[in-house]
Amino acid sequence: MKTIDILIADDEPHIVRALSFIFSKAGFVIDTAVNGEEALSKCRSLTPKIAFFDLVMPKMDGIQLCQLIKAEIRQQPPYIIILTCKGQDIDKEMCLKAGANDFMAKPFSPKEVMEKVRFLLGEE
Amino acid sequence: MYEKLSRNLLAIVIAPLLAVCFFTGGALSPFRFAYLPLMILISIRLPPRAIFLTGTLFACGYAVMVISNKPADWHAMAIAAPEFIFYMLTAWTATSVARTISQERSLFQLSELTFQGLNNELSSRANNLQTTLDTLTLVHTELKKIDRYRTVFLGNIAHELRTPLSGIMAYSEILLTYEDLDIPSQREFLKIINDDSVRMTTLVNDILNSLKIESGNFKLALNKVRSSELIEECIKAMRPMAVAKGLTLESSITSGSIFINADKNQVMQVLINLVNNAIKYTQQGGVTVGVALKGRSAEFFVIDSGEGIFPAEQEKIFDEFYRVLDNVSNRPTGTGLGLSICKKIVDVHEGTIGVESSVGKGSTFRFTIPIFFNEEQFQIDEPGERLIHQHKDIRRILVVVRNTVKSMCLTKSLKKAGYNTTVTNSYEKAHDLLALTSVDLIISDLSLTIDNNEPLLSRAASKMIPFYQSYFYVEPPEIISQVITGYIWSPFNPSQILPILETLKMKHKKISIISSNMDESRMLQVILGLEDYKTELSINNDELFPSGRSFVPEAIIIGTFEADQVDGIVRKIRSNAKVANVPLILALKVNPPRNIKLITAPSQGDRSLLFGLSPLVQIIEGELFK
Repeated sequence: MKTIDILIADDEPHIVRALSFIFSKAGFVIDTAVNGEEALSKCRSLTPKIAFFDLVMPKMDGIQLCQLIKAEIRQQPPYIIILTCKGQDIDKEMCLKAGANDFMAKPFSPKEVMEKVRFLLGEE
Repeated sequence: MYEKLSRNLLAIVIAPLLAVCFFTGGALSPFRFAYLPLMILISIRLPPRAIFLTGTLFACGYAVMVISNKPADWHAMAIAAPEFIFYMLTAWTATSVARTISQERSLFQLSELTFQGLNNELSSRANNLQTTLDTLTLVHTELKKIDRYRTVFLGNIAHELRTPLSGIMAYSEILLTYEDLDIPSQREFLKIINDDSVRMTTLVNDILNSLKIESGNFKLALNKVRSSELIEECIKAMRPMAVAKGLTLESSITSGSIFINADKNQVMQVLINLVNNAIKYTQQGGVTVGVALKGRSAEFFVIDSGEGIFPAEQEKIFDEFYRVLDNVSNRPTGTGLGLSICKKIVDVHEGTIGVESSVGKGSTFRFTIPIFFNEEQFQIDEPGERLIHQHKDIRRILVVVRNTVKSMCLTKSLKKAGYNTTVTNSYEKAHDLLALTSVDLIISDLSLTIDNNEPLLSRAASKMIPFYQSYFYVEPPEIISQVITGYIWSPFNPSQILPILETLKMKHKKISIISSNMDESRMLQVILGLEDYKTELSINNDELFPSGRSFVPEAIIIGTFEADQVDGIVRKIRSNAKVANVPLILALKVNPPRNIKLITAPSQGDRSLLFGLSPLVQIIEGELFK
């Protein structure tokens, strides 16, 4: 079973492309998804170490996705980072309760994202 | 009568009492004591004078009885004297009581009336307050709705802006960070940055456009525009978008050259917006754009074979900031401004816009723009222009007319004269408008008097806005002539009619009176006859000039007819060559309340002048600057 380092799920193609580009350039193995359903199935099959989920996605939103993953994948679940537009406190609490690990607000700086990813994967 | 009888009955009883006393012992009759209770009873019911007379009658009767019983018996008389005095005193007391009672009664009635009056006053004030409250509630609800939409709108704007912004930020930083990037990737990322910038610019432009229209800082550059040209240009601009999606884009122009009176850029914007939406919401099939003549307007239509619009949403889509949800991403699409901008543009052109749609089958958007007619007819004559230059202030005028051609003529002329003019086509809308803003003058077309203008009148009165009612008659665009020369109102007053006729220099001339009301026309005939005018009557509108050739009137008075008949009569008169240029005076059935003035517009004899506009302007100036 192939495993990847990072999964990126967002319905905005530009975001996905930008993130994929940065991570591939750094040498990570990545995959992408355009909606919640696809993200879930890829999480199951590819067991990424880190997963970036957009909060608002068709077919299943970020929060629902978190809940399902945390319930299903007990062994080595991915480190989930939610990409948000709002950055409000209420959303953060909800996400954390659902099983998310971290947040990143759009628009984001690719440098910051890289730093975070390196930090997370460097530890492991 | 029964009342009176019963009242007088009491008094009448006194006489028989006397008789009884006389015949049962005279001055010493036991029945004489009945006098006292009777007087008490009477004092309640009879007027003071009657009581006094009655009492006096009894007392005198008693004295007569004493004297007749024992004539020259001084002893007996001395004994009877106090009793006589007693009877007189009783009479006097009863009279006083009666007087007091009647005074009290009238005071009571007075206060009853006052109370009634106050009651009525209170009711009418309460009603006024209620009306005001209702209006305010309406306005408040509207404002809240708009405020709600605006909050959502601002939220959406921020969201919409952030998406392209994140793209721009991410890719520009990538381009800066990775120095060894290959050229194709570089170009790809730069293109994305560019696309996103364009997207943001469009959004910002939409917002600004919408704000501009809303604030009224919006100058319409009206011109003669060929509608087929607009459609062809629109199709040319939108074809790439349609082709990219695999859709057809066709035009459907039925009549060769329909010229509209419009601001080309604005109408183009509407067309492009509608076609854009059509393409966006259609996955297969195509879009058709076209125009056809409909009455005095050109009707543009955009038909698509797309997903259609739910009936519940069909009303809302023209609302500002309202967005339909994209059924793929479940995210609201666009800015919600496109169609509301279209509606505003169409409204400003005095057209209408609407949609027909069925879900799954497609939608048809239609909007109308008035057709163009000859610009020369909007000239203002020289005296009018001179006057206008004297008064440079711009004032706000509200015009209430039904017909688009009329409203356009009048508005254009007034605007040219320098007045900030707003037009509505019903009393209701004018009334609502006055709730939200204020104007300096209201002009209304009399053909609207069928509708209820009460609320508008009272609102205008309460705001102290002068209200002019006039009758503007307009023929099809080819012939526009000023028709009504003056007004009189019934009940007819010689002091009103005669000066008008004298101003028109109609003295000793022939006047034709056309009226459906015999009394009215006879009265007019009499009034005029006394002043040496020669008159002829016509009772119905089939035979306007019964004497035919022998009596050609030099002025015509139109009496009371139903408002919609007047149009026909005027048309007939004006199409009759003999009287086409003769001054027309219209009689009005309605006695206008104080704050309504009727415009008299003496004939200019100048066909290029609409509605005797120069005098109209003079009157307005006079009103505003007195």
